Amino acid sequence: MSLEFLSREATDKLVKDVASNLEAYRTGQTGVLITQADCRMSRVEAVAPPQLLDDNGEIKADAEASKLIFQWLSNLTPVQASDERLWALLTHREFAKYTQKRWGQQRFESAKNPDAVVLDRWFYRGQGLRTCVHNGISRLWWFGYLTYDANRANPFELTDVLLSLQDIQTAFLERSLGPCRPLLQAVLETVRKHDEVLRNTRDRGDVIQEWAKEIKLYGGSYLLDELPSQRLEFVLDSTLRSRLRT
Amino acid sequence: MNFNRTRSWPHPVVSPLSDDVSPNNFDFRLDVWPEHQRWLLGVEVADEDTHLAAYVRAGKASYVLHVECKRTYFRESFRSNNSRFEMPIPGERLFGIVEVSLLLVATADLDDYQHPGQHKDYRNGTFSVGIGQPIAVAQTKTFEAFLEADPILKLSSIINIRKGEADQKTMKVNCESDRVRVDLPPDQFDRYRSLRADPAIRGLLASTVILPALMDAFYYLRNPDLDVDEFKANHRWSRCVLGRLERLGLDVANANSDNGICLEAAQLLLREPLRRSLEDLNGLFSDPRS
Repeated sequence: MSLEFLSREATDKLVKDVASNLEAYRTGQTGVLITQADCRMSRVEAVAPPQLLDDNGEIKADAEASKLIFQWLSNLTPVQASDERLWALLTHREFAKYTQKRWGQQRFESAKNPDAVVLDRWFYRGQGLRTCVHNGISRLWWFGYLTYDANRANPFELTDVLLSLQDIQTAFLERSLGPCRPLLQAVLETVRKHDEVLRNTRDRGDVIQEWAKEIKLYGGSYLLDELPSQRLEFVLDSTLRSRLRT
Repeated sequence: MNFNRTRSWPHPVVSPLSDDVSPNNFDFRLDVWPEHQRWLLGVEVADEDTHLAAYVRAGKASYVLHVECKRTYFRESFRSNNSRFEMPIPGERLFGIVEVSLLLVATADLDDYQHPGQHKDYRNGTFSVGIGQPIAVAQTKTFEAFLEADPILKLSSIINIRKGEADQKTMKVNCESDRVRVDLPPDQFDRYRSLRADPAIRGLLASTVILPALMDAFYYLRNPDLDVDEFKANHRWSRCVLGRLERLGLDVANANSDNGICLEAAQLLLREPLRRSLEDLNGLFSDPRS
């Protein structure tokens, strides 16, 4: 079965109408905003979409959801995965309820500007790194894409590490460090190694954020992509270790 | 990773943006070839520094091409000991703006590094340069990786030929949509539609309908008041065509280039329409008995 995507015109219209459609986003009724005429057939073949809600109607954890989405769309290429029209249809129709529960309910109540939440999580605006990991569904695919390793006994081992703490995503994936594969893998391995200590660290989010800043600073005088893996592992391990001690 | 801003390094680095070392020339020529299923990046190091080149020959430093495309979360580097090399990248990995940087990076620890041209503030100082640290950095170059590597094969995706308004007497071209819209007077459109399926006159139709439409579209792009980058962002046809022409070395959107460039570009895109038209005519008028 070919996956459908939204036409450019329909996507732009949805963006334009966000303010007047806020109630649909608040209640998860975004499917009604789309007609079949708004949809086009893509070259992407896919089976029926996975369930991202459990039997009680609650959202599945990010790690579980990421595995399901990445496995579902494992043939997607990075170029296809950077297309807003694909993700906009999925957040509005196939995964309307999941997206509303994950990003709509509480965030709407506390957000000063709910329109911005919608644009950030239901659409795929912009062309930067942040865009990939902000759309409510694309982020799940990119998490899987960036961490899946077929050579491991559990290919999603690093996906679990990445999603074990929100700060790891924001500190690494939304910054220029994220696309550096050898670095990301080494970072996640280091986090895994210190998992237990991190769990028992009260301000572990701050530790990760400060650690990421230190790595970025280090990357100011080294080309991290060209560091031998042992040296990279040593640098990451020693810097995290010292942050956990202080 | 963009190296178009001045950076402070812990040791002298040859860079056009810094006076750490003089002369500070370190640049490269970048050629981008879109192939069927991959991009091929051709690099030729210019202004080679003889002192640094010696480190490459000794196996203590390598040229590193660093490529980044934020839109597709792509970041990879490619190492070479030759001053001329190529880096292949799968076509499915790049889309949009791609940043390409060239660095000369230490591949061995250099304990007493110094450069004969280093700034007098460094005096005769020596430095410890570790593996992975750059000793020369060129300014970052960018190119646009658009998907339609060969729009000629998909001409219908950039030109839309339609029946015009009932009172229309001449062919009209509208460039303000995703495809160049060519409106023909209704009676002529009907003739065109019945003729276009005939393979014997495809070259003739390319010359009489598509060639002038493309010329008109190219002249439209040469309007000095047009913001070409913004226009490209909003009009798919221009991205396809300009990307292709750029790779052929033709900058039709540059109002300062010779006007003849439009005709040259249109002929290139249509693959010799004159020759094809004459061949069509030759086929139509040749006497089958001769």
